Amino acid sequence: MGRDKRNYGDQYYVQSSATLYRMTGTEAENLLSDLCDGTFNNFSITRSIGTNGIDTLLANSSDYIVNLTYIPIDSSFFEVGGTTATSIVIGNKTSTYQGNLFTLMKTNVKLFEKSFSRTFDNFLDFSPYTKYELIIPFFPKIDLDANIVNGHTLYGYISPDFKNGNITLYLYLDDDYLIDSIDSKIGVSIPIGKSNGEEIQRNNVLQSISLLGSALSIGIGAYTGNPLALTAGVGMATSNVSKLISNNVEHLKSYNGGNGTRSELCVDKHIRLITTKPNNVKYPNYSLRGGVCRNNYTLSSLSGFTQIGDINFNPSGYEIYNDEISEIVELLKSGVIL
Amino acid sequence: MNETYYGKFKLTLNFISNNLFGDYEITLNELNLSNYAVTKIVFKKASGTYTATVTYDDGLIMTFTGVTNIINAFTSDIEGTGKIVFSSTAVPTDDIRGTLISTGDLILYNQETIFTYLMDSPKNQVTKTLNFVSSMEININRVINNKNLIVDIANVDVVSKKRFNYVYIPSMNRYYYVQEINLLKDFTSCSLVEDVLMSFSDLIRLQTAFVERQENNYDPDKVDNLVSIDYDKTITYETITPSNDIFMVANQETSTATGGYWFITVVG
Repeated sequence: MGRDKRNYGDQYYVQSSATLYRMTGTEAENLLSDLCDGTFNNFSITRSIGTNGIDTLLANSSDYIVNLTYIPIDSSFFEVGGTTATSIVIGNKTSTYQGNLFTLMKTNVKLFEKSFSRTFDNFLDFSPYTKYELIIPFFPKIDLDANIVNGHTLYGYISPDFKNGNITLYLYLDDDYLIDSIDSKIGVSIPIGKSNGEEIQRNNVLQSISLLGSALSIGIGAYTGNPLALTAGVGMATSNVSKLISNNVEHLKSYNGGNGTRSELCVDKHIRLITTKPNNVKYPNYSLRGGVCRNNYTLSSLSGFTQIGDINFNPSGYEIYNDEISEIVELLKSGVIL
Repeated sequence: MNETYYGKFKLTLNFISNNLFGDYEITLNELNLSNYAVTKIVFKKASGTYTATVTYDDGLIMTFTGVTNIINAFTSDIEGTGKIVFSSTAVPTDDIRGTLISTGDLILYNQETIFTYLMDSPKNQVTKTLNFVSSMEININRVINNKNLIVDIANVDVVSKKRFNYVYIPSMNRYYYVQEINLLKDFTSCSLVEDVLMSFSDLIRLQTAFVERQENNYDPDKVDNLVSIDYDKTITYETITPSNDIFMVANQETSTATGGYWFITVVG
């Protein structure tokens, strides 16, 4: 079990060389639309070198976009000091696209805490008799070792990477000791860049998305029942975007819901714990069979049923014969009452 | 066949019918002269005549003759240790009979006073609960081995009126279960089997052992194979309330609200 102390609330400073913005679906749609129809390439980015002020028209202005990632997380939990709505600066050009600029962010946020108590107060509380399975959205099923968590409180902290959609879950015991970290994928990045533009077309990532006059809405939805719906795209005959996301994100399943031609992705948003315990436990009669001891004792210190394993019988000067010693040892091994 | 016996023993020199190991019977056909402990017996054969030289613990040495027949030699060990080695190749047929118990420092009398009890504790209980019945005189009829005796009780009335199932023989310093009682014409014969637990209860408690199972000193966290559980398990499902509801949710049945954001990283 790791003994790494948890550093809650660490902050990192977003580097100015690669700036992270949060965009709404509409703004992302505008950007994607311009990328696909070539409008974005009209957005020339110039670079000044020295004092000559040479203007350079870059062939691949979309190469200035490092990542465009969809993540179903409320980033306000991670933002420190809030964000500022602003025009996105690409290269040295201020674009018309709007986003929220991050300055400081928390590295991780507490997702849950859960106390585990013993049921039987004996070996049945531990593996393999008792089993715990933790199900957290976007993570594979996590098997918890009952030997570690029983009698303690488990804390879960989420650390997403907003640039690439990776996410890490840190599990701490009693909010102190790291016992596990699990990596997963919660977001999906759309490959951007003119060099990828044709690739995007070929991969049909956005091919069937009708962007004109429609809202690109992707989000995790909650039905009253189960599962929860993630709806993607409008007017999509095929669920290419949803397929892209579901292929990359844990627990997301493609689901043909009731919203017409909208294809939907579903995930169970809840954090669930599945506990498996023994059933119909029957204990022996301790006055007739005793409980498991497995320790060395001088027999004068004991009372009640006693069954020994090994003994080096010492006659201690008593007048006793070998066959009597043999019988005594045999009786002690089968169990006597002291 | 060689059989070795250790320790002091007492031999009463009357005619005593007895069976030893291997059914050899030894009799010294002299009258009983003393009740002293015998420290050594030497039997020698000379021209078909056996003599037995008996040394007592007060130094008295007596020689007996007239024992004839089969047993080749009986020699004792160094005086004081009481080891007797019997060497014989044939079963005796003549009157060679006696009570010979040579086990440690035991002194076994032909006539003994014993104490009888009613005992109702479990057999595996080390210290038994005893209810005293009576004391009585018995004749030790036969010694099968040092743990099994057959005793004869002459007073039938005593036996019939006072029931007992447990015996203590002081000279043996041991306790015995009454295994079997046979009512015969002139006496009652009781088969006794030693209770080693009660006889050595103090010695047992002095021992140190690796204890596997104990009634009052056990660790419940150690796996106990005597605990039975069903094949079927109990499975419970629990929803954990998040400390921070970070996963974005929109009820798509009732709204078109979006969940999640787009994050763009740009050079600039």
